[in-house]
Amino acid sequence: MAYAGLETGVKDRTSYVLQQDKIRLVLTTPMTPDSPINEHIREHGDGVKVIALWVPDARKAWEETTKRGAKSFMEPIKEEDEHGYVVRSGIHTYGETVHIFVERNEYKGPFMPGYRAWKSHYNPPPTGLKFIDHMVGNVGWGEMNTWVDFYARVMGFAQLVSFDDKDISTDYTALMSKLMRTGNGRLKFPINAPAEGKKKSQIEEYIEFYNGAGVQHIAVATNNIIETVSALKDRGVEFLYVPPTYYDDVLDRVGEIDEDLAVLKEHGVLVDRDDEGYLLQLCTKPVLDRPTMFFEIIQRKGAKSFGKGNFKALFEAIEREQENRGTL
Amino acid sequence: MSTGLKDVDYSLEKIMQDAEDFLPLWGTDYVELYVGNAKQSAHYYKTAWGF
Repeated sequence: MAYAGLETGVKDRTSYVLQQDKIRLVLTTPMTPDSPINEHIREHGDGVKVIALWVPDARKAWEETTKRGAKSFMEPIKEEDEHGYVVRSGIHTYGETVHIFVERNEYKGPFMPGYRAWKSHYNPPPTGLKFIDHMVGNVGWGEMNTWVDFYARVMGFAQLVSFDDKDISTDYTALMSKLMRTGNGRLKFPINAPAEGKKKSQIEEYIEFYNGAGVQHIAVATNNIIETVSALKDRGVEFLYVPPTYYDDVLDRVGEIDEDLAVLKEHGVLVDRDDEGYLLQLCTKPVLDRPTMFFEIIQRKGAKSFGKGNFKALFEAIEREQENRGTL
Repeated sequence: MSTGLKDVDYSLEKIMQDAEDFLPLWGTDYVELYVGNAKQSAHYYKTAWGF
């Protein structure tokens, strides 16, 4: 949808902006050996650098968060072109990840100043992805409270629910998870940290290969998980394997659902229920060579939780992958 | 045979009473990945994911 690079007068990097419904991805690569982006890739491999947040006032967002203790990444800057102006500012979060506040009410252009519209003759059809449901961060040993406190105190989030190692453990590994959410529910950032287990947990594996804390997965919402997952599989996206035995007692756990269980089983889609409804979810294998970032596909039918009933099945599926990698 | 449950969408209405909306935050604007080869990554996200 938009592009910045040599042709737009940007010398040190190239960025492509891709969009599907409300989801915008920016892919950025360094163009010069002295760009700090090289250092990020050397340390972490490919990964999420920026979780940009849409705000009415980027200057105020920066002032309020830095006043509350956030470390500044970028002071407010106003950029304009013939389409209007955008104000951006930024703060650091876990690891080398940053939040950039974007104020774009007065901007009508393709993405933001510095970018031009990018048209291509090659436009494969969308796969039904609607918006980012949540983004999960993995943090290191003993860092959980620091970042839960950061999202509560600095960003004004509330803690929705907390799972400890007793909730999220298999026979071999364990982890902790706390779910932070804004007042309007638009942003949900669960934080994971490792916990003691017999073997190395997926969180430790991530931290080792990413060289620190970072975004573990991006959960994208669809209104039809079967169609979305079939389309993604047909196009080569690899999903975690769910053993058929998972489906033996799933209806006893979740009760009546609209979907045909045989179809869910065929695609390995997991189901969980909470007080308000149920949800369908499935995770991909890592989308990079390092076992770091992956995607989750989620369809919420009333449920606002995160599939606690599936944690064990999901983590056992990940352990099988770890076993193959020799990193369990 | 339908459960009658709707897909969840979020408005700007406050649903978490503990949260402090001093900013406020309206949603995710974009997610930026640093990658080794943006041209090829873009092709992957277009082809496989339909962006």
